[in-house]
Amino acid sequence: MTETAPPSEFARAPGPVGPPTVGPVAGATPPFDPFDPTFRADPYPVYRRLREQDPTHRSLLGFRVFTRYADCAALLHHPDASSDTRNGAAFRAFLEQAPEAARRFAELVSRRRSFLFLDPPDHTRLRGLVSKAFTPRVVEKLRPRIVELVDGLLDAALERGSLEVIEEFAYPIPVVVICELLGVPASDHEKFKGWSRSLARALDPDVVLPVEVLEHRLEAMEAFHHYFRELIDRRRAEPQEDLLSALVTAEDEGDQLSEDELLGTVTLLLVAGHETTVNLIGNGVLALVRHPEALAALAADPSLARSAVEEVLRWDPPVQLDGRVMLADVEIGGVTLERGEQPVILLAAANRDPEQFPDAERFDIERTDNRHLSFGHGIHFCLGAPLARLEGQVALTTIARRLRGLALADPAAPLEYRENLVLRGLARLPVTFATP
Amino acid sequence: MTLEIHIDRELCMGSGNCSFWAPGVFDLGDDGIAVVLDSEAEPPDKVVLAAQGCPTQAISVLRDGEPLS
Repeated sequence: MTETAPPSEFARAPGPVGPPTVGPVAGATPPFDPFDPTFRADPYPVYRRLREQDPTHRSLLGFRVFTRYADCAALLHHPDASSDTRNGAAFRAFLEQAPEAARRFAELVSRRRSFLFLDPPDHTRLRGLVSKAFTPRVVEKLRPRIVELVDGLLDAALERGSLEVIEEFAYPIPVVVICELLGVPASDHEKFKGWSRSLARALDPDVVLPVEVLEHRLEAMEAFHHYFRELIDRRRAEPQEDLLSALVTAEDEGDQLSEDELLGTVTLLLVAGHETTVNLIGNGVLALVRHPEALAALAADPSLARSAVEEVLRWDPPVQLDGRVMLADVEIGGVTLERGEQPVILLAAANRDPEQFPDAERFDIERTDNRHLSFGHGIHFCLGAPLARLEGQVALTTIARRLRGLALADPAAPLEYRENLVLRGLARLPVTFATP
Repeated sequence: MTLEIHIDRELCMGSGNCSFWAPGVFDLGDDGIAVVLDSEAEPPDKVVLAAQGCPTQAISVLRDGEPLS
């Protein structure tokens, strides 16, 4: 979950005197700054402009930014597009002059790499050890527990008469579920909430991160590994009916999983469970309150749950972009990516490509052919997708049904997004609703 | 007229996307790899959609020996 993967780039706004942008319409695409609050509030006009005017945009540091659906999908399942950033020329060059905290972190995750940042055969082996726990049928068994959690959070909101969606609804659902699934004691939630945030922030490319963020990230990773080491020892002494115990058994049985890999894997699962579905639910509630007709339709007809969640994923994805490293020279979208290059794959832009989605800018919870790229594509397709879908479906249909008159608490106030480039999610989302 | 559905077990990585798009037709087995339950449980267009939505393109659909996806 935490690598320097997607190359930086998007480039800090070059400004009028910056070096020239190389691309088919150099100069025609105005520069943009992903850390500009206007961009964060609504990045989609910028994505659209890139896709229409410069779909293989070469950003200032030289990274290619892909925004068309066909190009992004082709890259995501290209056999020569590696997920292992250690193959990246820019990554290696950066590390040579990087702050101490970045180099130590790179060393740590290189040793305890998770399958998110590995290629076959290691990716296949490590993912295979946990994939059975996330199949749709296994996940469906968690439905009663998810329903109970969601109802409990909404009961509390109705009693209070107020709800801040992110902290009081979107966050606790996936966190409680992943902790129970892994076998992490509920009493420890508070302990690693901060660590998880530090690691999520640091999913962004190292070059755009201040040194304090890099230091917090290193500390968080070390704290996680220390925490899991102790928990692993406890499970080894006394196995439980949880995924962690199953992985410990796999490690003990020999050649399937080393201790470093076990630490990399459980840290990935826990952080992924903390930082992604929260944004699916948060972005989903926001999309619904901004489209009252969709909110009313979902409240009246829970069978729209599936298509509604897919539409939220397409329209405002929790993970905005992904990166790869080329292992050979490959032509994509009319340009040649050279071996070692690190293309940026703008999933959120591809999801609004009119070549793939009719009326692509429109939020339509009844859309049928909705093959968005928000879970990725190819062998790295999101392992947790069945769980995220189920949590999203239960959360969005239940809040639509139970909180009548759901609306933004202060429609005039600017939305507060978390400072993150790869992940897109609100810091806060206070809503109002009718109290019985 | 019945559809013939093939799953490449080497390519399948168990995303569960096929069983999401065409639930009666596909499922994942205990090994996490996709299986065909009943090729006629959903209309052909949904089956084709499920095949096209496979992240690793492990599914092929044929009608009268002709590929549909």
